Amino acid sequence: MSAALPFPYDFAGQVAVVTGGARGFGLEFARALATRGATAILADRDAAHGERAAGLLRSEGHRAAFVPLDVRDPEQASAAAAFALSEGGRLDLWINNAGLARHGASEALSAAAWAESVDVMLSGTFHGAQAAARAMLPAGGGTIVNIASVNGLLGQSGRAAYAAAKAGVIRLTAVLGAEWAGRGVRVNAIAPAVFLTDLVRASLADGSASMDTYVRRSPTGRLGEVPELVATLLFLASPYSSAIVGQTLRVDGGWTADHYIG
Amino acid sequence: MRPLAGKHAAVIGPGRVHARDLAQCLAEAGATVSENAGPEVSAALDILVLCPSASTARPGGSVEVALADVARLARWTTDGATAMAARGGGVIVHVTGLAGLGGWPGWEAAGAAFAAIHGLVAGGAVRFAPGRVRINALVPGVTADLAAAIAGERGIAVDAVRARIPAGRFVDAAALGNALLYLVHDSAGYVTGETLTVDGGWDAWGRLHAAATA
Repeated sequence: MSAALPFPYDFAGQVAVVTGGARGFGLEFARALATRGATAILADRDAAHGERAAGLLRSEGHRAAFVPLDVRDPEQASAAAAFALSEGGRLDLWINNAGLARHGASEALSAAAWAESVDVMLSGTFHGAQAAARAMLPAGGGTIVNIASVNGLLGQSGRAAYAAAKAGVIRLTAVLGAEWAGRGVRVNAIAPAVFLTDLVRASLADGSASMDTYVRRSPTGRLGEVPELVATLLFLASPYSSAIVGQTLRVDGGWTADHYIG
Repeated sequence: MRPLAGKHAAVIGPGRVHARDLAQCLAEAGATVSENAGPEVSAALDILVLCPSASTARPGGSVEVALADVARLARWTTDGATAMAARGGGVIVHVTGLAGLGGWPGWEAAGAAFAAIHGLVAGGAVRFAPGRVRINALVPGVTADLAAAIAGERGIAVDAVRARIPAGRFVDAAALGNALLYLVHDSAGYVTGETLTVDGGWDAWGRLHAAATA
């Protein structure tokens, strides 16, 4: 999976927490950081998958551990940060990746479904960033990367809660980036378009999206490939992006640039 | 590391803003770099970097002059992207400025030019995506040189300009070079139509409360 990269990324000795780290993007991010020396803490509410994923990374020769985390609960976020500090003695990187996809007509969206999306993806990102910063600010530095979405940048029918939560993540990223940059904690986000992940597979399976629709919506005529997203994650996690603050980097094959007729 | 080994790059300069530093960055990354006053579209280019003229990127500039520069940059973009697409792909990066993202009083000509270029980037990215040509903008934040221009234009101290930056420091050539390297490298193959802002938080900050301190 290790395609050539523009920088000799090295996270040796660093400790990274990845929320939603048991599978999908989260596991790939954790593996990419661990491959380059970091201790990867997989934080996930799915203990069975999380333990298995951490074991998988260890079997590949990496440093990895699992910690239970429901990102909706700020106390669990604090506990995950404390666990990272106890495991590695420091906390350098926090990736707010946990998410879920609930699609459907907005007039039929239940209050519970709305709240679940906002709680996990927007509030969960804040709780995670806050827990991370409470460890990083006294230590003098750290890096936080939030996973947003092209749906946080453009309206997408049937995705009211998801898009609103992701748009919230993008503005939250700007606030936290500006607020903490002077004290060494850098916050940025990534807005991916459609990559073939578990969430996208679920949308394909439940009929709320089709591969043909996705490909026709993509100016490049293809979905993103996971290493292309990992490359941006590594850049934002590294000191090579040290002057980038509060930004949302799009990895979308031109998706959000395209406002025309298709 | 020579991550751009084997790549042919052109940077439109010399004398254009950031052109010299960015050309040097590409060369250090292993690319064969030509620096010239206009792209040799007949040449086999993998990477084309288009920088604004010094007369565009300054306060009190002329809209006519700035937009004439945009017209040149637009032509080079189309010619370059067309040639790249015919050869199977490539990447173009436009260097713009923060005045193209929000209001900079006194810098309207620069802002109009930069915003126009952002439009070229978005449209061009979509138009040339099927030809595997990526087109992005790199938006440099306030460097020490730009801070001096701002301080001069406003009659304030350079430190007052620095305090406007949440990170509390000016953007340097290394930071811009790294961002360029990120954009032009093949590993960014799904990054197109982007305006990558490298500004220490200038653009993110709403500027109501003090930036850098707790």
